[in-house]
Formats: sequence, C-alpha cells, structure tokens
Amino acid sequence: MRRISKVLGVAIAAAAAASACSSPGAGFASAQPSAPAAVFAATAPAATQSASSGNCDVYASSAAPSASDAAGPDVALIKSRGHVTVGVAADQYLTGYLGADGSEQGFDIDLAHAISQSLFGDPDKVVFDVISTDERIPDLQAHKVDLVIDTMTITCDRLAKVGFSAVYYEASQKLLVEKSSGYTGLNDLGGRKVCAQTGSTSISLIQHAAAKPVAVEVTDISDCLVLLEENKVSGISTDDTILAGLAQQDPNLEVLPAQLETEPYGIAVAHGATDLEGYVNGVLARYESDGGWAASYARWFKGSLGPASPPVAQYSNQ
Amino acid sequence: MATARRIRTAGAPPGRGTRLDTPTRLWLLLTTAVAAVLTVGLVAGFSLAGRESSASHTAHDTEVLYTEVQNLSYSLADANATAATGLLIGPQTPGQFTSRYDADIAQAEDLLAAASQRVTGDAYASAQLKAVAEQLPQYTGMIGQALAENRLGYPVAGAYLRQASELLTGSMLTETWHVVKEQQDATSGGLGSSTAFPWWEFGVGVLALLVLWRVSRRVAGVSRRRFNPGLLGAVLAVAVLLVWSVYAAGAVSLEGGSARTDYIGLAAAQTQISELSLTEAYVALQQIDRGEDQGADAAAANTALKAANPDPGSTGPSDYRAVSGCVTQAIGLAAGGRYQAAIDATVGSGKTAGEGGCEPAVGTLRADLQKTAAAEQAKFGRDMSSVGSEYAGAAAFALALVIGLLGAASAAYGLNRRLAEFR
Repeated sequence: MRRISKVLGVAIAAAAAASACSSPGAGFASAQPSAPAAVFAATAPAATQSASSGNCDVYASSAAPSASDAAGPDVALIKSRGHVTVGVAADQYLTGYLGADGSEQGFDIDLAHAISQSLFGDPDKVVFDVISTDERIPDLQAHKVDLVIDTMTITCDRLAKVGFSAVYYEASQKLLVEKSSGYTGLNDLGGRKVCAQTGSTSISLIQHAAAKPVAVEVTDISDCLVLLEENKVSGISTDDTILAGLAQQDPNLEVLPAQLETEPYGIAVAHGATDLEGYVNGVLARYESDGGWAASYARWFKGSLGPASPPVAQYSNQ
Repeated sequence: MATARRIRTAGAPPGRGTRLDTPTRLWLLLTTAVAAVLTVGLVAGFSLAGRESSASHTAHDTEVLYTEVQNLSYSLADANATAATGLLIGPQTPGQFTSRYDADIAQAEDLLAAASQRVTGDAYASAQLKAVAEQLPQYTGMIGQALAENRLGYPVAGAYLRQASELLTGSMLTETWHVVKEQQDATSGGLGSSTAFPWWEFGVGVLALLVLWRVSRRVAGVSRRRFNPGLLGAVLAVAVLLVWSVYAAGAVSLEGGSARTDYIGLAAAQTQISELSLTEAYVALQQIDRGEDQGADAAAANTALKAANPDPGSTGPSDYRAVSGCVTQAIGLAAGGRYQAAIDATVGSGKTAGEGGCEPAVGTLRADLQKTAAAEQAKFGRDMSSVGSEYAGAAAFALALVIGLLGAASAAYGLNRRLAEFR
C-alpha cells in the first residue's frame, strides 16, 4: 500500500514538476495558490517531493541487489584493500558528528558500520573521511571515497553525476519552533523570520510560502539555533533529521509534524559502480529487515521525531 | 658737550645720519639689540619647552594610551583564542584555560576603563572605545553560553563560539585597531615634533647675531671703540642659546632615533602577540566549523600566522618555526577532514590534552614576544626620558629666558654706557 502511494506520489511529483517548469519563476505554492504549501504537504506529503526531484524517479533509480554484486570489481577492490572509505559529515548532530571521545557517531555512521560488517565481518573496518557538502560528488568522482553517507538527498541532477542506493531514510523538511509558541506550520509564521541554510531548498520553500514568512540565511545550520534561542528568528526549516539534532540540544524546542517537502536520502557511490550500488542495496535490505535500522532510528531520532519504519526499497529493474 | 660734539663731528659718516642725532641713534640701536636678544631667548625658551613638552607628552600620555589599546587588542584576541582552544579539548574546559580567559577579560575591562579616561576630548577614539565597552558583555555572554553548551556536549557550542568570534574580530578588534592606529600616528607625530631640528629657533638666533653684529658696527662707528663689552655679552648669550639648541637637537636626534627604533620594535612585538592569538583562534574555529566555513578559517589562520612572525621576510626564529610547523600541520589535517587528528595536533590528547600539541610551542613564542615587547617598552621609556633631559626638562623655558634676559641686560648696559657719554 505504501509502495503504491509512493509510486502515485512520484507521478504527482512529475506532474507538479512539469507544471513548475511551464511556469518560470513559479514555485509549488504559486501553482496551488489556494492551498498553502504546508497544509497541502501535511495532507499529501508525497506530492511535495516534486520541487527537487525533476523528471526522474528518485525512489527507483538503483538496481536490485544480486548475488554477483559481491564479486564485482568495485566491491573486490574494497575487499582487497581491507577497509571501506566513507565520506561523512562531522558537524551534523545525530546523523554524522564527532562525539566527545573523538569518534564518529550518528545514524549515518551506524549504517557505515553495518556495511563494514557485511564486507569484512568487522564493523570497524571503515575509514571515515570527513567531507563538506561541496566535496561529496567531486570526492566520489575522484575515487577519494568509496561511499558517501551524509544525509544526501537523491535528486535527478545528482543522479546524472553519481549513483545512489535505494532510499535508506525519507526525511522531510519540517519546522523547529519554541514549544510555547503555538505555531503549527509555516502558515502561522507570516511576516516572521524563519532561518535556513544558504543554498538549501528550505530557502525557496520559505520565500514561496503563501503566508510570506521572511527567510533568514546562515552558512551553518547551528547558527539558526543560536538565532532562535536569542529570539532573533521564530523558526528553523530544514530536514527533520537535522532539526531533531537541534531540538535535542534545547528542550524548549519542538519539531512540528507538518511536512513541507520530502527528502529521500541515499548512499552515493561513484557513477557506474553498479556492483557496489547493488551490494549496498543488499546490505540495506538486511539492515532494514534485521532490526538494525529500527535500533539506530530509536537511538538517534525517536525522541524528537516519533516512531518510524524504514522506507520500502524500490529498484529500477523491478 | 665737548665730547658729544667731538663724537658727532668725528663719528658721523659723511652724508649719513643727517636726520637722527647720535643719542637717538644709540637709543634705537639699544632697543634693537635688546629686542633681538630677548626674541632669541623667548623663541629658544618656547621651542625648547615645546619640544620637551612634546617628548614628555609622547612618553607619558600618547604612547601609554597606545600601549593600553594595543594591550586591549591583545587581551581580547587572547580571550577568544583561549575560549576557542578550550572548546576543542572536550566538554570540561581545563582550569588553566578558564583562568586565562577570565584574566584576559578582567584585563580588557581595566584597560578599557583606563583608555576611556585617557581619550577624554578625543571624540573619535571615545566613540570607538565606547562601542567596544558595549560589545564586551555581549561577547562574554556568548562565550559563557558556548562553554555551558560544550559541557553538555552540544554542537551548538561551536555556533555560539563562532558568533562571539565574529563579533570580536569583525567589530570589537576593528574598533580597537582604529584607536591603535590613531595613537600610533600620534606617537609617531610626537616623536617627530620632539626630535626635529629647530630650524625656526636656529634662524632667529642667526638673525639676532647678524643684528648684534650690525649694531656693534654702528656703535663702533659712533664711538670709535672696536668692541662694546655689553654687546659682546649679548652675543655670548645668543651664542649660548644657539649652541644649546643645536647641541640638544643633535643629541635628541640620536636618542629620538633610538626611541623611534624602540617604538617600531614595540609595535611589531605587540602586533605579533595579537596575531599569534588570532592564529590560535582561527585554528580552533577551523576544527570546530569542520568544513562549513568553506576554508575561510584556514585562510585566516595562515594570514595571522604569517603576521605573527617576529622576523618577517625570513622563516623566522626557531620558536616561531616550531609554532609555524605545528600549526601548519594542524591546519592541513583539518583541511583533509582529519579533525580528531587535527585537535590532537593542536591541543594534545589524553592526559596531555590542553598541554600538548602546539600549546607548548605557542606558549614559548608568546612568552618570547612578551619579553621583547617589555624590553622595547623599557628602552623606549629610557630614550624618551633622555630626550626630555637634553632639553633641560621642565626648566627649559625659564633657563632660556634667563639667558636671553641676561644677554638683553648686557646689551642694554653696554649701549647705556655709550649713551652716558652724551649726558
């Protein structure tokens, strides 16, 4: 049922994207002027993925795992090396960050350890290479890293440059506000300042919202938390995984349940490394079915985002 | 009368002096000579006293204010470096870091109060220091929040530190540097005006000598006496004032040059200490920002590191090379994404956290630069004191005036004796 709704969502997304493309300068909100984005997203979340998806199926772009993947050239190279190199973030609380003991921790990091466990029978045969957002695709193309696990959203633009696994987490753009504020969504923030990271899709989402909140841009999302604590902004908009990290640092804040836009996360591999892509999909399938995903989610996000289940994998050759 | 007639008949040059009789002419010569000598005395007095005052003001006010604001700049930069480095070490900031931070802030507050009192009347400097004073509580508030969040292990600590650091480097230090620059120019100007050659005084003295020589010739023509002892005394007084001025100018030029060299050394050492602290802060920020600054922190750290070199243009002395090597390695590790290794290289790890890594080398260089600054400050004080002494200290005006008065009295006495011959 969920899969059907997703396929339907992709179709609606494609239609919405086509609509957006035919009306230059018009975002999703202007295409649906009578239905404010937040409300619409709350009732039909899958449709909002159109803004960043383009004309491809970001949910079913990856090949299904097969038995031959483990013997493929890219996987063999990693095995012969004795460790897998994974590009990660070190500054995203709860997804990929340096803990007090100096080790990498977070939801994405647990996934990297699971892949290492599968490859070598040892979860610690993984070398973390901390990379910035801008370095993710170039480092994969230059084979500096084997994989990138860094809350990386699958988009059509990126699919033209690198390969992606099946979706391992379906994040949503949400809002973080003061618990006592009484806000329920972006519609309540008309004329108020909402903070987001420069260059993120959240900025255009805020700018095109019907209620006309004022977007405040920062380089680092943590700066938004400072601004919110200093009462200089009324809310923060970004992926719910990141908002969960911010909410955990201040018990007076809450992540609103209303979804503004979906962000399907995938593990990125070098373009053409289909055996590695398939192998990772196999690991993901096991990780999601054996309780590894659920345990990791419960450890990092459940307190802030509530219960969730892993996304149902979709493959391009199914 | 017979004598007067004789003198008039014998002394009056043919065809000249037809309008004034000899006593009147002698009165005029007397007045001219007295005025010339008194003018030299007054000019010398004012000039010497002015330069002595300028030297004293430069040594005791302008340069002191300059040092206060320069030290304020260092205290702020060091507080920021200490807070940033302390955050790198772990959730619990070691006691020596919090003590150093507290001492820096206390010193910054004291220096702000002292400098604010000293700049009374200077609207520009007052406004700049007032802005710093208003921002200091905001800065310490954010650092306090950063330290509190860091104790809980929350990454937002880095955001508070970044915001505080931006306030400090982008606004507070900039405003302080404006005052530093203003006082630097004022100190240089004061040094220049107190050690410049007194051409005006020299010119007036030479002119007075010419006048006295001319008067002497006229008197000799009238009296047929080659020398007038009173006029000779006046010439002697003017000559003493001239020699004093020239000698003082020569001596002061040497000591002033030395003071200028000390001052340049002092300014360089103080700037290098502040740049060293900025290097520490940016290195820590690079490791805290973890790539999201797009390389800005590493670039700023490298720029500050170069400016901290006590021997610019070379690879620097050994203590600087030790810091440079260590810091460059830490910057490289962080740029390569090896943040934990970079932190270990910067502050050490395990039991040596906060005392290892680059900390010992940075501490040695900081201590050496502080020693250099203190030595240059002491030398500058001594040289400026010598400059004041060459001008005979605060008594310069009175002494020059007394010499001028004595010379004028001597000229008056000498000419009055000639006039007496006509009575």
